[in-house]
Amino acid sequence: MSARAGLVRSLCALTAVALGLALATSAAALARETLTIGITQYPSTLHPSIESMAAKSYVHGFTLRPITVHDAEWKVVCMLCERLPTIENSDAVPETAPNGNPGIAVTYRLRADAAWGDGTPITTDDIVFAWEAGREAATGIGPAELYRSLYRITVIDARTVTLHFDKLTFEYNAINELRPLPAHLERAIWQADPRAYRTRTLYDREPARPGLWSGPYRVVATQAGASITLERNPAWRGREPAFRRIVIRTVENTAALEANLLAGQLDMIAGELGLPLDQALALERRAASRFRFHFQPGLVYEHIDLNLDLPALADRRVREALVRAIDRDQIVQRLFEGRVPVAHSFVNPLDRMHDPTVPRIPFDPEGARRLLDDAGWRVGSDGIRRNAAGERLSLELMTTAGNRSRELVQQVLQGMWRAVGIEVRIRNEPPRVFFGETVSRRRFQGMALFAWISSPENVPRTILHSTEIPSEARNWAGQNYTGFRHAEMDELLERLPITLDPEARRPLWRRVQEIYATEIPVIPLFFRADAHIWPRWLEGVRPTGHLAPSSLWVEEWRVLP
Amino acid sequence: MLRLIGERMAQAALTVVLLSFAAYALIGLMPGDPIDLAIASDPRLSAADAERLRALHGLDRPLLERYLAWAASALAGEFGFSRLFAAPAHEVLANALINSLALLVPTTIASGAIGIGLGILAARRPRGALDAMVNAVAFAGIAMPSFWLAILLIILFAVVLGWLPAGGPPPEPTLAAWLRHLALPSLTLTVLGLSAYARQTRAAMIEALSEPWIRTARAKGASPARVLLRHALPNAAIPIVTVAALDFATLVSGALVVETVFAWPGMGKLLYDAILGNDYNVALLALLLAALVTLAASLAADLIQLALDPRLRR
Amino acid sequence: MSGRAFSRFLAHRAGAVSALVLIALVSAAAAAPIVAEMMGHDPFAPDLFKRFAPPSREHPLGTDELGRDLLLRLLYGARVSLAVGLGGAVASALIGLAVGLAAAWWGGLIDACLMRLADGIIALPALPLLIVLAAVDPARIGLPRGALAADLVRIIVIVALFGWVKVARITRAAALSILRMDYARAAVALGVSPARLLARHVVPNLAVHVAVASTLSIGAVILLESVLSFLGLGIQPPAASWGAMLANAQDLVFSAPMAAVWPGLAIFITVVATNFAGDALADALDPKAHL
Repeated sequence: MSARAGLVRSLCALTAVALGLALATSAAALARETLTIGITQYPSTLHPSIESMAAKSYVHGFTLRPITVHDAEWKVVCMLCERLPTIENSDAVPETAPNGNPGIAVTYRLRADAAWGDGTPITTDDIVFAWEAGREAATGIGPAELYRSLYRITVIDARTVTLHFDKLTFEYNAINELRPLPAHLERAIWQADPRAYRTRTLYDREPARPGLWSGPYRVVATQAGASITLERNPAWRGREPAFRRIVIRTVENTAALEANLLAGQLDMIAGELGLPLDQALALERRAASRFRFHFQPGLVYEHIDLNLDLPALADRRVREALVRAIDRDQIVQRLFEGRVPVAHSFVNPLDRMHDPTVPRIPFDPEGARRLLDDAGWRVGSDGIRRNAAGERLSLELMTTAGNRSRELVQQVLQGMWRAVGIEVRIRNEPPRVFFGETVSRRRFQGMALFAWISSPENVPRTILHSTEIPSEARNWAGQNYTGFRHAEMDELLERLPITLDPEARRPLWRRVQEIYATEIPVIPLFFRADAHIWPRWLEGVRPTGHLAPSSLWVEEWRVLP
Repeated sequence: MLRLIGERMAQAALTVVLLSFAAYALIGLMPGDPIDLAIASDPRLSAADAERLRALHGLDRPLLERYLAWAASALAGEFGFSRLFAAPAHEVLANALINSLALLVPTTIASGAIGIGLGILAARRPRGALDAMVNAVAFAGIAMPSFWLAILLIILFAVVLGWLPAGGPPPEPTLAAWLRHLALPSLTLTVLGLSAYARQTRAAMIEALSEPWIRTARAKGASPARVLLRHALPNAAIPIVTVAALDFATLVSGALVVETVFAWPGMGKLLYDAILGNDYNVALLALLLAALVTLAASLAADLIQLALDPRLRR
Repeated sequence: MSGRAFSRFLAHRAGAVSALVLIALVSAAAAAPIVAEMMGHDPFAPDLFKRFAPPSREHPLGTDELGRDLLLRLLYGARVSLAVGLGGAVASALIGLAVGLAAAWWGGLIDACLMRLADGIIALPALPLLIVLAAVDPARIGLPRGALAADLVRIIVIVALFGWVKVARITRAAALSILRMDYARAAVALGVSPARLLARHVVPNLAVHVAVASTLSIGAVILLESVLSFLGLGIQPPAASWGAMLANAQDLVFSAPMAAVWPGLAIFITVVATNFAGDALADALDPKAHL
């Protein structure tokens, strides 16, 4: 009796274990069918050309393919086209534009297997429609420069098209922003009333329509403000992606985002819109065994704009002293564990035009004190310097209120400047006041700490050219907030875009960086890094560090066995 | 009574008109319209682009003219399109309102019932052991910032125990999913809300219990429960009702922090995003709704007060 | 406060102890510079080599994210938080009391206008107003830029602007029913002046509700200050406040929870003490108190 009972019991146990194992593996397999990704923003529209925002471009990485894009090596590559047109392979031919400027005609041939999710092939008609809609002012597309300079399109056949631009720059073949739109679905809606198109587009009204999407995945469901669900696109002809379904969830509060990850409700956090660096570093110390962490330095450039109209800051010696007084290496090492590169100019070390031989200003508080003495600022009784007229060397340092990481950097800098006798007062404002008025109308009294995001080999014309200083007369356009005027810089910025040979551009780029480093209109701080957090079983995600999201290469994401 | 309601309706209409203009003006006065912000974030935008977009969105016209245009179409029942959420404004609002009500109605009932109950218990013997405990609970609820309570509950129930989801609306519309996803945010709001009810009730009850008619009732041999509930509570109810009406009105326009931490797309988050994003149509519609709820709650509080205190009826 | 009322206040034991705690907190805040002098470090100078140091002899509570002494920052933070919490609550209570009494006494049009204004303030979202305020350059309207005192006054004004409504509604509701009581009617019939009637009969009877509502709001006001800082309307770094310390600890919930525990505890103690003191005060003022 007892033996049999024992046998039954152990049989039961065995079955239970086997059942449990089976359940566990099927659960794991099931879980691997779906990938849940957390991001901190919800896209305000899913239409490809209206507005640009990071959450939208992340979702579009999975669901839409651009014609060209910058890849993880920061080179322009084809996605929907067969080969990249260049002057060398004769697909691009310089010509004179109707306005008399040097222009160029660039011919693209779409891939034969490119199709919308409902099986309709992507054709030149879709490009023409996107261009027509973008050109029409009533459609309300944000930046219109592309649609303006692209003055004519010649359709050669359903897959081949020649674009005529009325300017010739070294980026002539990058048309990352010209997104084909599904003319078979959208054209009629647009034609009915271009002004109402943005309120009627299927991308927002019926985003689950398969024909809107051209990537490895298509949108199947959206829950406003909360999540977007993607499934494999049956019409996709490229490599089959690993997951049947991808859910992108929005959790704006980063502490809650972390909790969702730890609770297993998220598999990964996208670095493009993820945790702030210090939070991710702290998480890595505790959860390195559960997740893989990747810190991708990128093109977001944190810096301090100096208002050169202020008498104290108009003196180059004072500006150099400001840089010599701060120990950026220590800030980066201590606050960010060295995961972000110190910036010495606006050109990222990963950029092909970065020149490491440009002179750098080291951390040198003694030198800073000497320079300030030379400039006539003597230490007063309270430790703060004064000039001959008795004015204190006191500057305002502003940034976006509520950005914790910037406020930390700000306070450290304040302490470092205090040590050489410069008083810095912190006055922060909400982002929309700061960017919408104080910085963009040059109302900051001293220094403004914020970031630029750029693209590979981005010519900083709007930031450094003397005609780009914002003013009432110019409708406050332009980003030369410092008020920097330098004739040679102006000339370099004009020559750079039209110099087609990369090797001929190199010396121009070097000179730009040199002027920037010696004239010091801006104090460079560091380049931000994105914290990507992946499950240990996922591999193949390659962040780019620039604006193109890693989701554009989702078909290379693989599940480790 | 009817005259009072009629008068209040007229006042409410006037208030709503004034409020909608105040809100429109405030949003319009905020520095950094969408075009300013687009210029600051997108270097490709030129001066000409800015002018074109301003004209397209009507931002180049004077504030009053824009307000009148909005008011005219709002009166016609046309609330416009949400620039920020790419959907008609009333649809955007309806979704958020459903989420908010799903969270707020059970929460308000629970925190009111528990809070008032605790307050009555505490008032039975002021400075007794039970009173001390109720005070301790209430103080913890008052001093606890909503963010911290929310995140601690998430850590306990979602991360450590794994019993409940850490946030987000239910992925499928089943009752079980709704309940699981509502559990933590409503627990947070209930704990935060009941403190005020408990403290206010306790004070009002102690006050009422010291009145002479309570002694009379006791002397007549009414049971202690009857004295508490039939004699003291109606007299203590006036400040409690006032607080409850105010609280419900405030909650409708948003439990912003709790909604954000639990990634729960409700009215608080919507109003915040709409205002920061200059989405006039949504912000104003949400505001109108909040105003109507506030005015209704305030009227309800006054009517309940009248019903409770016959002397107020002239 | 009369002698009888004072002894009633002391008779409320928790209230008396709380009053002592509050006095201790205020004096500790006042003594912050002396303590800093004694401990020999500057709570505003960052030291990146000492971030998140555990408690030690040198730093009794450890250091914060920039290596500054937590105890000293708590003491300096007390100055801001107590000033804002107490100042904001008192200002809201006084405005609310005045508005509520005016509405109840005069009634009619004045009542309607004041109460609809109150409804409006509850319904009006505070955010756009705050952002508009943030865009006002203090220098342009003749206020000093970045002076702590000016920042504090601004915070208290903002708090009172939104805080008076609740007190006003409670006051009006309670005053209406008190004015209908027999003793109030008798006083009116006897020709007592309105000011005397309100001061002697109405206010003491509704003090308990106002005290509870105001002390309840102190915790919220201390936390509101950090929300204002988030909009650039509060105090500016490197100045410290409990609310800001708590808010800054949010991102590091998991890794540095102690950074939140201390300011949280300080707020808790303040809330408990002010609530008990408020109870005792209400007791002391209550004419019906039978102690």
